[in-house]
Amino acid sequence: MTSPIHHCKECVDLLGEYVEGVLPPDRAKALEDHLSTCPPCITFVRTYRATRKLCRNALATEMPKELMSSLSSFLGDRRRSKTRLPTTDPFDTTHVAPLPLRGGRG
Amino acid sequence: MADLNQTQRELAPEEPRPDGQPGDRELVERAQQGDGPAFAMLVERHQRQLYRLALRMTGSEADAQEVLQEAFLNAYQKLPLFRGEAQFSSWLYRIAANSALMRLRRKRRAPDTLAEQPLELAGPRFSAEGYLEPASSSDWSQRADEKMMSGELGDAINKAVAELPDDYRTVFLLKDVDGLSNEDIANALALTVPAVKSRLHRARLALREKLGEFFDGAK
Repeated sequence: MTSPIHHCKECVDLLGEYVEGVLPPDRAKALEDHLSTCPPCITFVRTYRATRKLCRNALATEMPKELMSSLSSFLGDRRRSKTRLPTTDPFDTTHVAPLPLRGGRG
Repeated sequence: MADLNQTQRELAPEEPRPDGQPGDRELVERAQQGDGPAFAMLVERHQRQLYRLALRMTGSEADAQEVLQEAFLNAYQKLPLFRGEAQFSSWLYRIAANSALMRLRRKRRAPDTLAEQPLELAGPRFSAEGYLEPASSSDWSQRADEKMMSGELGDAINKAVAELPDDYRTVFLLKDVDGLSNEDIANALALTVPAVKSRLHRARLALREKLGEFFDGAK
């Protein structure tokens, strides 16, 4: 028997798993039953979802190509000065094709 | 942070990648046997995700660059110790997160562990009976779509995220921006899965409050 959700706080506590679709079915049903009678919680769910979407769009960032290049150079230099593993140069792409490494050693 | 050493165990077969390239486990095994280009492929494959993590944890591109260098160098040197119990990506994330935390600690005397971070997070307000207070009920979700490209909104989001405690911010970014699983995040940050879920939810609630303030102010 599904125990009903009477209070908004209980609804809010379950939202994280609910919006990810991983809330157990009986709790999801109880939450949706609560939503059907609670406009403030409907608004809360909408804004909770919107928060995730906005942040994802705003914070998605790309690594600058120059940084990829300098990282490759740095690791190649360190590898040459202090060898442990691997035994071949991981940043020497001249003898292996095709490696998707951009920039190479500058 | 947990020990980076791994223990031997039986491993399930590696899932094939959609792009047809070798999986991480195969590349790690090749790199452990001296295949340098295999390690370079691992760097190429994971550097973007690690950069995002480092950038968001440190808030500085210069620091992120140094974190990346340290993390990959550390991974390179510790590769013989990696036994594949965790996913390679989680192992890398843990190394990078460790490096970023060490850097933050040196710069501003950050607490010694994630759990010791001060906690003052905003969240919804409830009545004594557990009902949402009216101030938590403003519906700005429709306007969020209209303002999706607003520079001011972007600034507000960056500020709100920057104000989160370090561990909450890191969990939020790894989950909601980078799309890692709770299990991978827990492994990377040496947290339990319930701790990850709790931080994630509280971070979202705090950010929702901040965005609500932004939209209320922009009416």
